[in-house]
Amino acid sequence: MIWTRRGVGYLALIAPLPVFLALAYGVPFFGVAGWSLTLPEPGLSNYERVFTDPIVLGVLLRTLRICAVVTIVTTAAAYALAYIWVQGSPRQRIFVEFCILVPFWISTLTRAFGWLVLLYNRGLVNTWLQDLGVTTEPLTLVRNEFGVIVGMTHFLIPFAVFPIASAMRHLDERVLLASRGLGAGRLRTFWSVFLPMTMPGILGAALIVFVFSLGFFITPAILGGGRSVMAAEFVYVQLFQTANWGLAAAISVVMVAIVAVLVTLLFRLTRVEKLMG
Amino acid sequence: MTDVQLRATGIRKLFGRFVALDGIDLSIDRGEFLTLLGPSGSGKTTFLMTLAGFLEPTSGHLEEAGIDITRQPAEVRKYGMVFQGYALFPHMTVEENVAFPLKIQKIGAAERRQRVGAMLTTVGLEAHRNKRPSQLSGGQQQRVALARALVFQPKVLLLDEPLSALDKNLREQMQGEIKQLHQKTGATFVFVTHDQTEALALSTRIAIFDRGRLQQVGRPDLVYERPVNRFVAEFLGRINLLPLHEARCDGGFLRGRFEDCTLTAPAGDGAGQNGASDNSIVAVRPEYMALSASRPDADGWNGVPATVANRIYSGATSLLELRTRSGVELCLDVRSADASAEFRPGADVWATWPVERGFALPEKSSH
Ligand SMILES: Nc1ncnc2c1ncn2[C@@H]1O[C@H](COP(=O)(O)OP(=O)(O)OP(=O)(O)O)[C@@H](O)[C@H]1O
Ligand SMILES: [Mg+2]
Repeated sequence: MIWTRRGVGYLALIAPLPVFLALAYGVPFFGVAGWSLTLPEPGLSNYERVFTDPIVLGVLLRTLRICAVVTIVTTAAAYALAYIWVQGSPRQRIFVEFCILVPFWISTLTRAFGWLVLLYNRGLVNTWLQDLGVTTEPLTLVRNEFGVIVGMTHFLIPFAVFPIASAMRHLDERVLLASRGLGAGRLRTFWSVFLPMTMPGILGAALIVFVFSLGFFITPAILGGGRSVMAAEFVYVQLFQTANWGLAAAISVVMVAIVAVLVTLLFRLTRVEKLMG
Repeated sequence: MTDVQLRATGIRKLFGRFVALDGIDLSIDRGEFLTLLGPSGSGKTTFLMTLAGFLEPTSGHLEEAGIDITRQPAEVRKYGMVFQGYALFPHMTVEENVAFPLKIQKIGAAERRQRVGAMLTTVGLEAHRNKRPSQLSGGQQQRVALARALVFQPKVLLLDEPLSALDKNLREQMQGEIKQLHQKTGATFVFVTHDQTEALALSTRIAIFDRGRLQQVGRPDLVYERPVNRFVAEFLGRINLLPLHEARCDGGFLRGRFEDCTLTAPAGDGAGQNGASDNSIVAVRPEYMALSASRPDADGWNGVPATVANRIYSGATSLLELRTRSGVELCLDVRSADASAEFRPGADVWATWPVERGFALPEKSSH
């Protein structure tokens, strides 16, 4: 079938995409994997270091911890936003749409510096808190994990809103009415019906956020101030400052492996969810 | 023992400027099977949603057993409801779906299991208790919806076109099951459909809706035999309509000229006085019409000359289409086995019917 003239034509039309993907992702990945096994000398020494060196392990654990917190906070906030976006009055909807779209027009760098202005020791937040007498000493809000989490969450919320809102939009409203007609109040209907039925959207959003946040570079570099170093920044340092290419490559491969495992797990989960739905 | 359970007075519902319900007055008796029947968009679902408490009427009142419940939310009224498309919980098993209302009422696990089990037996779904709705056939889903709505023994069960997605055989089977459930539970059923046969077969009373107005309420046979207006007459089954010239009312009968014949029909309750009448149409159900080769000479019979235009086979009976000289179309059923000459297309015949089987209708519908 495929070898009819038209089949060949279609094949030629769609071929560029997989070929491009293979070149753009496959080749560099195998190159990096190759470095991790050969630099500075052939063997598994780089991987051994990843799992034993307390500094590397510390960075990896911090990265996972920050990403986990960011994922939870972002998904929760995005759920609330998506709820208003889908269920709110027309005016609320426009407001939420604005809040979701505007960040896309502002660069990552600008946003990170924006948070710096707000959160540093003599920034707006600390000045206000002291003026109002809530605190006497400035709070340390940046150059630590807190600042990184704030900046990353802010960046990632819009990406989490879309899958959740889509799940909410596809929900049959009569099912919610049915629940209320059977005696469940609004709160009970939310917990027993709305939340479980939008769970696939939540899981999808959480995955996107988590995977995305693992590779964050600019935001943690600026808001972490070199103290809360995350994996991407650490890899950068290994590559361009200490010229430790093998280790940098091994860390990268481990991160890709973590993402692959997570994606597989989640696809299993959502397939189960689909069966339910 | 007419014991009014729900009383709607002057229910109006506007969506923006659109009038979806236009002053509905309707009393529903305890334990009755009331069917709301009407064409698409006539406001049946809107009225049902208002009864359930999902929609608040723009004006008007709703009473349950004499108590005003107009502003009471659905979760307080707790009428069982079967939605069009069933609206089952997709993330729960059949058993969990049916147990849901009992859980809400905080009924203990032991009693819950027993009642859910009994309910699933009633609707014949014990074997499927652990499946999810998406793994069930349409008829099975429908039964889950019924079980879920009945398990907490609601006083009122509202059903919105529950059978519309089923094929004919399953539909007839489910009609029987719904009727049995009604007798068994003794609950008040309000049933929406736009299938008239279903309405006639199931209900103790039928309420006919058109464009947001209640046209007629009554026993199925009365609504069918004595429709109050042209809309109801045409909506329920087939009807032959013969417009009269110089229609006059006299002695309880309507008399007037149709082509060269004089037709007579009972004037009905509406027409009191003698004299010129607003009612100027004689209506006859096809099943009361017969064919004969000549003008009926017996007293108490009407007759109209016509030509057989068409014969349409439909199983046990065939539909015969006639056309009178002035082009009015009539129809009647004949047994398919009957091959008499006067039933062949082109034959000149007389369509006849007993005077008391016709009825008078106004020229125009009420709006
Ligand atoms: N939420 C709404 N907003 C605006 N108009 C509505 C809304 N709900 C219903 N309507 C309108 O009200 C009218 C009556 O609708 P309803 O759903 O009650 O009809 P129905 O008799 O149930 O019809 P069907 O047999 O097709 O289900 C329709 O013209 C519909 O367009
Ligand atoms: Mg409807």
